[in-house]
Amino acid sequence: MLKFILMVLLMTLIADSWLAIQLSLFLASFIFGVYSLNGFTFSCLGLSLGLDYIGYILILLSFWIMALVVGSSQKVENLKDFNGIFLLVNIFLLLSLVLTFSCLDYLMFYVCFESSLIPTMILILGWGYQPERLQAGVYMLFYTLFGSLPLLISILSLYSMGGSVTFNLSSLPECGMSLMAVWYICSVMAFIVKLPVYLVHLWLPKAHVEAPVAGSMILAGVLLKLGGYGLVRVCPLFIQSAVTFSWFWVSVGLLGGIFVSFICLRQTDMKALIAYSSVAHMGLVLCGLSVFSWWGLSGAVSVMVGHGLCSSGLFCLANMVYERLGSRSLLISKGLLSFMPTMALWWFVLSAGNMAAPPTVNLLGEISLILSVVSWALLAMIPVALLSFLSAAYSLYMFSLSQHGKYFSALFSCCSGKVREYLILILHWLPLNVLVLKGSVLVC
Amino acid sequence: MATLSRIGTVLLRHKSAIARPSGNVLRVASISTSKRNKDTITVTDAIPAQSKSATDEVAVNKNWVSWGFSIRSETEDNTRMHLIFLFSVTLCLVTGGFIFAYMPDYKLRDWAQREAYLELRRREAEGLPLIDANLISADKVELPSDEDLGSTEIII
Repeated sequence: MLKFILMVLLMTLIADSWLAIQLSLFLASFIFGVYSLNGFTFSCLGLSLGLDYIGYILILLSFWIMALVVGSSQKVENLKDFNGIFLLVNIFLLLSLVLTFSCLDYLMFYVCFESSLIPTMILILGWGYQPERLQAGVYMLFYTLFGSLPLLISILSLYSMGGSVTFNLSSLPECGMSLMAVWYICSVMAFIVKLPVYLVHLWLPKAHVEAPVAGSMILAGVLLKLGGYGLVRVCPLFIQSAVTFSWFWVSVGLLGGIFVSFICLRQTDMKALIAYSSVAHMGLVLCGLSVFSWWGLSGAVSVMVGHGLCSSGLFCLANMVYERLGSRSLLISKGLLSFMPTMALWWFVLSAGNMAAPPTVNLLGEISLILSVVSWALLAMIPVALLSFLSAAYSLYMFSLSQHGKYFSALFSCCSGKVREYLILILHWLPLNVLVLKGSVLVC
Repeated sequence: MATLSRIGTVLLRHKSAIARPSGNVLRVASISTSKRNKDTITVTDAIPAQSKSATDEVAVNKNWVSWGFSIRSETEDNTRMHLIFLFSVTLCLVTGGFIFAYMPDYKLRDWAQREAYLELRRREAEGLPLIDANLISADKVELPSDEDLGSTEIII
């Protein structure tokens, strides 16, 4: 596992050359992706870093999305907008993500989890477009820190009272139900804020909208999955409390997803719409992780991977429109079918993925999640059905409002799609639609 | 966008015309500034005369359309396009996809199924029950007492 960390560190030496970084990221994805042929037991296990199937698929997602991020941020290189530092910040973000998904103890996981915030802040503040990015960065930083300081306290008390912080080798000491409940809430809040879940989701629309395309893609693609991954790692310690409180998370996840889907239907900003749809998807992921069933876990992982590819692709598309028209507003960037018909293919295919249309990975995950949540409580059928319906509604709304109709009359001309852009989009879409044929890679 | 800003400036011009007072009144405003006692100059090195190099004579297509990978030169754009497509499509998608698709027995699923069938065949041959009624021995199972159960529905 250390060899991949070394590979990422060596990329910092070639951070002057855009081409070298892009090629090495694709190479790293390939090498990491096929490295699992013999299974992880003796090839990837070290003293403090290791892999299992969830970690593997999320690290692969990180490498792949980072390669696509560098590909879609060509404007930074064209404008010579501190491109060396930009690549360096991205590489440090990738390093912290790979470390987070491969570390084997809770304290290191916490350190890497927090360290992924700093390059994201630098990306938002340094390369974002509007002055509102200051407030967006502050929201993101303080929401996450507010949730994760109790996590640090709970990990340290786990070490002092339980004796170990290694993942599968630590256990809680015997303690009363109320202390266990407080401990559980402290540990889980960080991931609830990171996912994010409806009541603590306000940082997400701000951060996504104000971030540059690189920040948005990485946030939607991988950073939200840190929350899901953390829940998978932390909840087994607190089985009793988790089962006691799971009704709360399922309710907040489902109802929050419904409220946020309604908010989606009222958005005029493309990126805000995609950001709110992320909250809805992650709400369903939280439900799957809270019901403690095998279907729920595998559905959660599948939706995380599918959503990572799909949302990242949609943010890429929104940025292509923004680069041409100068606006993210759906009122201005409409009728794009007349200007870029081929791009409309990618809009359609990725919007279809967003609403979990077959044959995408999202469909596989959503079916597993619906099955698991409905088997947990039959009443959950109604909010889950509403969630699925509304996800179709806002995906169709976004597609038809941006593509169909008469184009905005003030639009003079815009550049047709570049080959680079189509390549980045096909690299988003192909894993999304073809990985479902090898679904055993995703299903744990 | 450009049209909007043009319309905007036209409106502003009209507005200032409306706001102009009627009758030509000469207004004089006197501004006083301090005497300039410091000034900055930039010193640059002398730029040597550029001689024509061989690469300048290579025919450059004036209206080349970029693939999107570089806006500076056609050759750089072309090279990048070839390399990036090679690494991403040929290597990752095609080769990686091939390996993923034909990977032998990922996660030992086929092996586990074969072992299960072999075990079933062995049990059928010996007349043993295919699966033990007490898969987990009965003394290890802790059932909740009647009070703990309360009115919970028992489904078997």
